Order: sequence, then C-alpha cells, then structure tokens
Amino acid sequence: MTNRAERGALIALLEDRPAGATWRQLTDDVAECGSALAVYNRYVEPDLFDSGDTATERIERAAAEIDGWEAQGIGVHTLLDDTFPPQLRDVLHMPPVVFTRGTLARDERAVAIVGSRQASSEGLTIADRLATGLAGHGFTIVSGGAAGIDSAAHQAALREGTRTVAVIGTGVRKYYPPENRDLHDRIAETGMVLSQFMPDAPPTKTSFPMRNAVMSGYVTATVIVEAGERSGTRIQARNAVEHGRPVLLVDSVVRANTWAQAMQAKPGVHIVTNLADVLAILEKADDSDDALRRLLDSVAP
Amino acid sequence: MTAFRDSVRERVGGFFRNTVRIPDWTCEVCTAPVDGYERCLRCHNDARSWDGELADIVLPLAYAFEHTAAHRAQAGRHQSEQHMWSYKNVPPGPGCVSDLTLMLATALHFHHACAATAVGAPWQAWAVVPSSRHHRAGDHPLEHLARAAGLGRPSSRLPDQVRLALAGQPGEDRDIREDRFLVLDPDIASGRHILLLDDTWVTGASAQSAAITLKRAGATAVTSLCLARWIKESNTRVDVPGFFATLSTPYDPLSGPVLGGPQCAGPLGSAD
Repeated sequence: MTNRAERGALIALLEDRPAGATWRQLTDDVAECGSALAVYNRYVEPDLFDSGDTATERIERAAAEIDGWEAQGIGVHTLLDDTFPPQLRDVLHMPPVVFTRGTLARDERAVAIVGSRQASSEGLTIADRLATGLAGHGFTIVSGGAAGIDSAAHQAALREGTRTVAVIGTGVRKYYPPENRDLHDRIAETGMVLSQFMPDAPPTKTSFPMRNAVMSGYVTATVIVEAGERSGTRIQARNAVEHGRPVLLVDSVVRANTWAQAMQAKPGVHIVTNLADVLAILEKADDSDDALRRLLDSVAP
Repeated sequence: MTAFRDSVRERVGGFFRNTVRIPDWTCEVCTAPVDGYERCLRCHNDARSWDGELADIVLPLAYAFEHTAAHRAQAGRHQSEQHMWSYKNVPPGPGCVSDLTLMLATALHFHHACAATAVGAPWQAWAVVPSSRHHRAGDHPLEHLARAAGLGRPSSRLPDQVRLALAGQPGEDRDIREDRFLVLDPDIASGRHILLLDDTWVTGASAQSAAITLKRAGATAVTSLCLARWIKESNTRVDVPGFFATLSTPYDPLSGPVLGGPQCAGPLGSAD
C-alpha cells in the first residue's frame, strides 16, 4: 500500500489543481515521477498556500478525507496503488484515481454493453439476451448504470448471479438517474460501482462522456446495442477505437446510424448479429497469458 | 500466420501506422517526414560525420505521434504515444506490454530473412540500447519485452545478447557520441551482425551511438530496430499532423518496415 502522505498529496493535487494544471497533466506527472509528493512540492512553493496552511497540513487534510471515504466503505485507488485497475493504465484516458463501492476484481474478461437511455423494447431485449449469454460464459458485465440499455444489461447480470460493474458519471455517493438508486446499490452489493470523479461530484454535461472513455479502458470490448446519432454511446465507440479495444456494433445500430456506417471499416470494429458472433470476437481479443503465449510461439524467433 | 496478422492489426491497427520510405517525402534512413529531401537534416549530417559506422539497416516499425503539450494537457496523448509511454511505467499498462511484444515478435519473424539479404548475413546476436532512465543492466523494460518475444532463449535463433552499458553519467544527449556506451560483451559482438533494439527513435543519436560502439567492438553489421519513430505535432518545418493523417492504412505486421526482401510483403508500404 502506498503511504498515506503520497495518497494525500495526489488527492490534494487533484482538488487544488496548482498552477491550473489539468487532471490529465497531473496524472502524467505523477505516473512519470512515481511520487505525488514530489510533484506536489514541484508545483507548490513551501509555506505559501492560498488556504494558508503548510504543505504537510494540506496533505494531511487530504489524507484524512481519504480515511473518511474509506470509513464509509468507499475504495480509493490512486494510480500509485497496487489496487488501481491495471487495464486503465493502457489507455490515453487513464484517470489518476478511481473510487469504488463493492468488490474490486481484476475483471480481465469484462465486456461493456451500452446504448441509449431511451431504448426501444427490441433494444432492451437484445441487451438482456447478450448480458445473459455473456454471463453464461464467465464475462463480467459492465455498463454505465444509466436508464435504458445500461439498466437492462445490469439487471440481466444481477438476475443471472454474474458479476456486474457500473462505471458511473457522478461520484460514488451520488445516484444518477435518481430512480436507479436501488439498482446502483444492488450492483455494489454483489459487484462494483466505479467512478473516476470525487465521491460527491454531481452529474455534469462533460462527466458522462468522460465516464465512457474510462469504461472503454476498463473492458476487453464494448458492445453497442442501440444508439442515436448524437449520444454518449457513440463517444464510447470512438474512444474504444482510439484505445485499440474491439467495438461490436449490433447490426441494427449500423443500419440506423451514419456514424456507425463510417466506423465499420476501422480496425477492431465488428458488426454482430448474435451471441456467437460476439463470443468469436472476444475469443480473438483474449489477452490472457495463455492466449499470448500461443500467438508468440507461432512466431518464435 | 493470418490469425497472427489479424491479431496484431486488431490490437494496434487503430492507432499505429507502418513507417514508410517514400523519396522526398520521408527520410530514407529514419522515415521521418521531410519536405523534398532524401534525408532529414539530422540523418544527412550524421551520415557525413560517421559514414560507414552507423547502423546498416534502420527499421522503425511504426510512428508514435506526439500531440502538442497543450493538446495533451486537455485531451490526452495519442494512443500510439500512450503505448510507448505506458509500457515503461512502473507498473506498466499490461495491454501495452503485450501489444508491443507481439509487434516485436512479428517483426523479428517476418524480417529476419530480409535483413539477412540486405546485409549478407543474418542477425547473429542482439542488444538493447541502454536508456538513461533504466540504465542498470537488465533493467530496461524493452529488454523484458525482447525476452518475452523469444530473444535470449537457448532454443531461439538469437540466444546471444551483447550487453551495453552507459559510459559515464546518464543524461539527455541529442548528439551522436562514440563514447556514450560501453560494450560489456565484446567477444559476442565481434564478427557478427547485431540486432540492436530501441523503443523510440527521436533523433536517432542514441541508437546510432550504440551502433558505432558495436562496430568499434568488432561487429560486422548492425540492424537498428525501433518500435516507434517519434513524430511531433509541434514540428515547425514539416506538417506532421497532415503527414500522419495521410497514413490511413492500419498497422500491418507484414507490411515491410521498409526493406522489401523476399519475406517483406511487397512494396514498402504506401501512403494511401
């Protein structure tokens, strides 16, 4: 476990954003340097703070904040911690910290099932069937905890007793939409709710697309079940392509959207019509040690 | 083999692009975009100063595109840069490590023969360019990656490693120096064609310094294989974003990183 001052310094950096540094910059700085304290000291002149307290006090205050979150059962996983989800380190949208409610797991075989909030009954059925089928093959079902397709995917996973993870667009102490409060709590009971935002962060216009980028980074592949021409789902599809993670477009999505048609020729983008299609693609994307060994042995020098 | 090709393309094709050698458009040595010259200024000057001692073959596999600092602060890196960055972090991104391992393993497999044809002898030993950040022997993340790709295994075609070390203090160095590195295993280097691995080629000073050192230790030839040729959006002489945008074909492990020998898949890649 990373020491208390290091974790406190990271949270203090993110809250204070010294010199107007963005979270993105701070993430890079801390990852490269390997120490949030060193980065803190680089940005903040000793003994000269807006808040008037010393660096040690400021960092201690942030560390106490972490203690408070943890006392409430919230997991705090900074990029300096061993518990930080390793797959997020792969992607350009790697967050500096994630907060969780529920049980942390490696989730090496995790699939995101995402789509519209205002979903058609056909879309909801597809999401349910896909989640059920993938649950039967041992995949963690990941979605955004929102209404519509997200809820259908989570509910199917809960019903099947398989692990489900909600990557949400607010802090983990908020519920959005409010009517999904019970669903989020049930997900946290058996699976996990994960957020890249401070625990009390409210929903904002930008937080949802940011969440989609992190969700893409968390999973092996993203399945798009239903989506409009302008939707967060579309953003996740684009992020997944950027990340080099497979994007599986249900055929009706391609028929209905010009962006999906434009995307289908890109590497890693597939059109799927049934569960068998999805499983075949996931098998190819398998990044387990065994799968990698087989590939490497076929080209051993 | 097709499965392998597809697998690599699926993983990295979305953000990596093969390097290309096109007269007057990219440097014939390092594949950097140029504006109407055979070589970039750096490679041109280096060739004049160190002719015959530089690497005989330079093989950068893909371009890594670096956005401006302002872009990175807001929107993050390009994923090609993220891969080159993340694989050396502690701890690294596991997917970045496996992707780059696969890219390296394929390149070794498919370009073994063409490198031999070009130089007249196959690779006979391998080495890794030391970096100032990972300067203790065996420390370099690229060395782990090379071993994972099969190098150094007694049963492989390339069991013998020539260890290199930094001579003097680690530091940033933008110019070629013949005394920058030491060859710790001159007996292994002597009389052989060395496969010299580096992760990124920015100026080439590091890889070329190592090539010179290896040749002075008796190596008969050096192939400098880099995972990525670094290209920067902030370049003021060449329109790098424009250049990068024209490379629309996803990374193909069979497309020659530019040699065109019997096993290289035809022409040296194309710009369309």
